[in-house]
Amino acid sequence: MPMYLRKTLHSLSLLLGVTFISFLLMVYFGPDRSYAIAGKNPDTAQLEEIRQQLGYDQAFLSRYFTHIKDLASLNLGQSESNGKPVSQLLAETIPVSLLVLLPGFLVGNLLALLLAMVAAWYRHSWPDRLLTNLSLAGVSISFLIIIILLSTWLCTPQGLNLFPSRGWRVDSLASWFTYATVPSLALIIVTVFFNLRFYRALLLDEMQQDYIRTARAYGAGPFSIMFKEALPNTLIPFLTRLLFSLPAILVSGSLLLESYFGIPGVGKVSFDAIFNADQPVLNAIVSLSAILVIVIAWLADFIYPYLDPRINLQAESP
Amino acid sequence: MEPIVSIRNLSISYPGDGARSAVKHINLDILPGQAVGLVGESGCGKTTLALALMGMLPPGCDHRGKIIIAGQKVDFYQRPGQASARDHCAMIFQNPQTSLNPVISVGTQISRIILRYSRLKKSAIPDRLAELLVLVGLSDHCRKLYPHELSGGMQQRVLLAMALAREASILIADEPTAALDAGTRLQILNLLKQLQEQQKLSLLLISHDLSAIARVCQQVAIVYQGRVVEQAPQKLIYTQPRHPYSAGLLAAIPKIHPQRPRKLQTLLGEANHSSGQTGCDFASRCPRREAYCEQQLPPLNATLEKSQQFACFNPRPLSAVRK
Amino acid sequence: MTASLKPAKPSSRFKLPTLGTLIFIGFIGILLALAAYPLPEWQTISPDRFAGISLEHPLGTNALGQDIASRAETASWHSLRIGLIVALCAGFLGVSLGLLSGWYAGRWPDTIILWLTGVMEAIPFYLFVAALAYALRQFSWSMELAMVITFWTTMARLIRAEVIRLKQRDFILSARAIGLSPSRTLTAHILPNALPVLLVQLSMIFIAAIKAEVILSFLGLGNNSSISWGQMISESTHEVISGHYMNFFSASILLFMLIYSISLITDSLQTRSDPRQGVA
Repeated sequence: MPMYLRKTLHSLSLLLGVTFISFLLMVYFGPDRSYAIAGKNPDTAQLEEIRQQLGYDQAFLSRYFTHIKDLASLNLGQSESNGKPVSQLLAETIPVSLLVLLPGFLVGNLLALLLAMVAAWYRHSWPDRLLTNLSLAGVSISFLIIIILLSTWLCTPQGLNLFPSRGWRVDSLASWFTYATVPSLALIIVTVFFNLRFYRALLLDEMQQDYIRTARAYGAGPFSIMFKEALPNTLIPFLTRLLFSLPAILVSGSLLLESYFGIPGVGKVSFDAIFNADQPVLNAIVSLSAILVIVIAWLADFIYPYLDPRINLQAESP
Repeated sequence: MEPIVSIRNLSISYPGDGARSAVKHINLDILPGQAVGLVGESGCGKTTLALALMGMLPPGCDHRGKIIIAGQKVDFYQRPGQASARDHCAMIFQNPQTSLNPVISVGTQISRIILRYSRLKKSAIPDRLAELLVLVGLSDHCRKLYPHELSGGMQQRVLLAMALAREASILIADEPTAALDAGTRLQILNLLKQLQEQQKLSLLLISHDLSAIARVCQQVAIVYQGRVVEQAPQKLIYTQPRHPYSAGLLAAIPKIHPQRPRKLQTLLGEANHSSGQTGCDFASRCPRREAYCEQQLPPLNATLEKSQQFACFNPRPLSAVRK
Repeated sequence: MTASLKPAKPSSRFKLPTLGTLIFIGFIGILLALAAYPLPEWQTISPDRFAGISLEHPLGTNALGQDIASRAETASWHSLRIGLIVALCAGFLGVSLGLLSGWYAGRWPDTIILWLTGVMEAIPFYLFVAALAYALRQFSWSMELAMVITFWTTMARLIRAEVIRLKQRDFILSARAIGLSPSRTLTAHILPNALPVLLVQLSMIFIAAIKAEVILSFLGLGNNSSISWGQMISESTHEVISGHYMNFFSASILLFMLIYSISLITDSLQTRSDPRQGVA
């Protein structure tokens, strides 16, 4: 079996797994929605009818297949708290989350990479020690604390009071700066602390390879050694970390940032859904983000051969 | 003739190694266009010497003495990318497989060096690349290949092309054939010799393999534990080694003589790395050891005709022609 | 050609306590001092709102007049307990599954465990916890359970890789050749050699669990029967605006001391087992 076929089959099996777990948690053992729909004091016949409409009377497997079919056709039901279709809710909130999170996420990762290059270049001397010790202390500070300190400093009368402490009315670049600067700063700080040591270890590993010695012997300067020789060899782990932390940042990171700053993105929606036990919304977000992780991983496998010629997807796997 | 490389009284020790030095009081000259061989067992300081020549010693090394290349003193801790004495040197390494960047095509790797060192216009680089590939005996389609798609011998040819691209007058080859199989080894050695003569390069060939050195070099220096113990033209070393260590190395080369099977000789014991000894480093393994060998360090003496130097109190007599 | 390899610095057997152990000792010292000090119960509400630092309330009181020192102490034990329980349970699960899948690498038990790892890693953690907490709402350990279910995967991957690496070593091959059973080989020969990796990962889980608990209880998803640092920080977000910092600082400084000291200790452990990775 060629490698790409094997990888695709593996991804498909993972998809079955995550949809099964989301089905078990959210649908099968999830809340019984018939009472909520039936209203107050329903009789048994009414309840039975609603349960039939919801498909509660069907067999386990056929309910699971309905669940997969609904996900595949993005037929995600309606939110129980405000009656909007879930797909519409997501279409409205995902762009907001991307606007809040993506710039900070990318800037933070690039900054971490650059600082990691500095640390790896000056390994074991003071810039390296300073950066690695700072980032170790940095990852020990909870994301929460960073958000609170930053917003108290920048958004309250106690501090500089430069930005609004909550809210989201973005329609232009200037308004984006008003509302997204503080959340982005918090995200940049956390991303740098979180990634710096990992990227440093990657680069340090490459710096000890023989081909770097060759490059040095042939007169390559610091810039050329880092960007043209070492960096191309770290692209795969770098990209992997970037891609795999993206869904986590989008969902889990936005949960905290958006609920703290009152930004109407995916995080805020899932936060509200958790508290209102809004099963269709929660189910959609959990299932779709898990599917997103698997799809990203699957796509990444097809990018890797372009980054490292030694990887061959056509090869027969053992 | 003025030597292009002269190493004067060079000693280098690694941090944390105490008093033990990797290289001890080495003096060595390379004349323009001359091929010099440096022979010794692993750990004797050969690579350290090569790294010092390239100004690439690992940080924190303790060093004394100096190296002068084309009248310019070598800075042992050369910052990468700085113009310096080492621009006269190109170096090829022991493991061609790991010495090339695995994710960059070999054509690009060679072109980068052409761009850096020749005064060619960008448009002229592909032609120069083609020229270099021919010189090292690679076909033109190789430029698009990646290192893992080449055999060990081809990889070493790529490294040689990189060395030529550097347009240096001195080539340092550190065990260039150690990682290759026997057939390829001969091809690479012949190529090395051919390029050295053709391009009028000065060559420092570092190897543990005396037969490789014999094929390429005119002058040979034998190193034991960081010290040159014997230095002579290639012919003299092979016909009448004076130092017992040189003789031992020669006797350890297998020879095929079906009529007269010869028992392969080995050097007894292990290199003694303890510091603080005063006598000859080789004394503990030496078949010609005398009591005073362990008391005092033998200086490097010249013979009457001055072409052969050796550091031994009790050298093999001249009449002892190799059997 | 070993000359180009730089020998490692000789490490002396006796060392001064590192910064990490000092901070950890400080943290435990503060907890013990608070435990020895006569403090009111953490729930006790008093009319003494936003009291300053006094003998009666060493760290003042909060908006309900509750003693902050007492709450901080209870919250610290709470966090330590969660960290330990989750690290031990998730660690045990991860090690067992990792050993199993490494030993049977390439065969069906391995395939199933790898599949399970892939599935668990794809599900976003905080939402999973929230969903599980809802599905098991009558069960008070749902948060710990959700963490154990999600945190074992990295441990399993690391142990699997260690087993595969060690399985080919001569001493394991000879142990198998003399007929040692797989379970005996794994526990007596492979596990001790995987110990550095195991310990580092255990403390990573410990840290992750404590950090996650703080964020979950800040969001109101935690266990409401006890007080936690997350709840204290959550209370403090309204107080800092009016200039009351004691809740915020006592919770966040204790949290930082614990996480930072464990991180430092872990880092030195990691540096010892793999000198290239750590801080110089």
